[in-house]
Amino acid sequence: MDNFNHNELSREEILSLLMDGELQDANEQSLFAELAKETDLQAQLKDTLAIREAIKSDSEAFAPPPDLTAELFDKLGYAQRPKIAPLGFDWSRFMRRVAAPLMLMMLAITLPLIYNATTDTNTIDASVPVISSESIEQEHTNVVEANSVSTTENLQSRSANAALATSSNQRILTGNQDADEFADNDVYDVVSTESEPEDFAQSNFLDSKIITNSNMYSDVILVADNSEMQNFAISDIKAIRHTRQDREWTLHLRGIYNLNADNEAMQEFNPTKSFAAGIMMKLSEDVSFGLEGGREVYSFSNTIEGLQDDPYVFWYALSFRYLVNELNFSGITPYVRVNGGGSSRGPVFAAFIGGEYRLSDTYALTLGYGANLLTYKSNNLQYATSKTGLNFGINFRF
Amino acid sequence: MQKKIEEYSDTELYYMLCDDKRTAELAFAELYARLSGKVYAYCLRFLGDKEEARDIFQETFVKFHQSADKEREMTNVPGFLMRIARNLCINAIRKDNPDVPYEDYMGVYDEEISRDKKELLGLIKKGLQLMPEEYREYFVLREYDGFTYNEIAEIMNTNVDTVKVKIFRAKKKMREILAPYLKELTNYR
Repeated sequence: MDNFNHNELSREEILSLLMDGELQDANEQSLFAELAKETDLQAQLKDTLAIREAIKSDSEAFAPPPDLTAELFDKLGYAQRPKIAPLGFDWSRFMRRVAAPLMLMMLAITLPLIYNATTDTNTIDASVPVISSESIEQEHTNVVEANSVSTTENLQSRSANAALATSSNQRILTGNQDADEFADNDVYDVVSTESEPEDFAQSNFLDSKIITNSNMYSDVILVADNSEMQNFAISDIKAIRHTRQDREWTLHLRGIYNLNADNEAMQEFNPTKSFAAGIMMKLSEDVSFGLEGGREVYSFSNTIEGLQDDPYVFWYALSFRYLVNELNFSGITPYVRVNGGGSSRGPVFAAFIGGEYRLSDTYALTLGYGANLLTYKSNNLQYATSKTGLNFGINFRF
Repeated sequence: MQKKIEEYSDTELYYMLCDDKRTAELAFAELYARLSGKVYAYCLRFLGDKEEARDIFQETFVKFHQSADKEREMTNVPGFLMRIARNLCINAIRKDNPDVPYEDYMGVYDEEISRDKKELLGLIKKGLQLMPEEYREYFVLREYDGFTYNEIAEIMNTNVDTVKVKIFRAKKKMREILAPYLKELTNYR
């Protein structure tokens, strides 16, 4: 632009040059001085900016439609297959920058909470008095005779955080202010060995109370001989029993065998390259929720960058599983699983249907059929790639 | 270590179009990724007709692909590609679309004016079609494709002074076309 004689230009022309980044520095100062006082120039500036801003939003113009790209590449004999129209929103960026950190944050918050709810070995106050467990050990039952509670006085003397504990792994903690008269909702956690809860008949006792306010244990029974269950004293307790709630964690590992093999990598069956692993928490008898992650191979041949793309994608997802217990056939329980999450390329979604065969209380084998969808961005266009496959794996409950 | 395809310059990629099919495909895909947006914006907004823009866009890249020649001196691939697109667009306009008289542009305001940016964009599109051809393409090359004055001069095979004048007049005409709307907009700013 050095051959311009800026002195011969009108101020509007100089402003135009400025806005196009073509103005020499020397002219800027005088233009700014004029801009400060000239309303016409200010209007020109505002109008130009408004036009420019509107042009930026002209998304239709800035990328050729996928079908046009496909036509062109077909014509040239190149293997390109765009599938879906461009979207206005960059989902892959959103998943990478927003959704993934949010999910990890949620996981970081909820996992310790869930962990604390399932085990109290690290959360019991060291000052909680331990009641002799000799009688329990001798009788090999969960029944604690009231007269074996030798520290009642100690408990009563504790004005806060009073607790009853039968052994290092069988305790009741209470949060009430008066251990002598605590209500069932004072009991906030119970941990026990699970020694033969079936031997423990509720009818053996004068009265009983089911405590269900513990997150991870149901069927906690306090048995007392008074009739005022909302207001009973420690001395009223004749026995304690609890059954571990049926909620549980499941670790699972599964291999993936692709059924639609669009590229060489998909044809190869290699569990070290196509696998998934996760952890699920049982929310109810049928429903589990958890997190799953893995690595899978997809077909990216439909994009203009597809030929050079690494087809292996790391992904993570929130996972819901519905186990259809009512339809148990010869030990095989059908299940449906739905995943939604992100990947190194963009959002991923998957749905599975299959069966689970329990080898024991701890182990189960699974076999299922799954369909996956991955959306990703390439050349400023949004694409999707999908596949189906067999999933086979092992579950470990704890 | 082998260079990734995106690390090659436009010129290197252009010459790779003459290599084996696999290499040519990779090179073409990369060049397409880099330049297709500019070419499409130019065709669509300069011609103003989507179907015609699609044809010209496709023809541009086919001709570009066919032009690959190791012997050809190539220093500015985007400029070369835009010149192909421009020639095709000009031919199409000469053949099919006589210019709408500039004086007709005030007809844009038959529509209700809104302060919405989307409406402004709609008016800009119409304004482009009402703008004389000689200014329209300068406007698109500058405002849509973001080419510098020097790059535009190369594409248009003219000098930078001419580019400066044309762009200034193009922008002025666009402002004139949109004046009532922009005035309305100003009242709400």
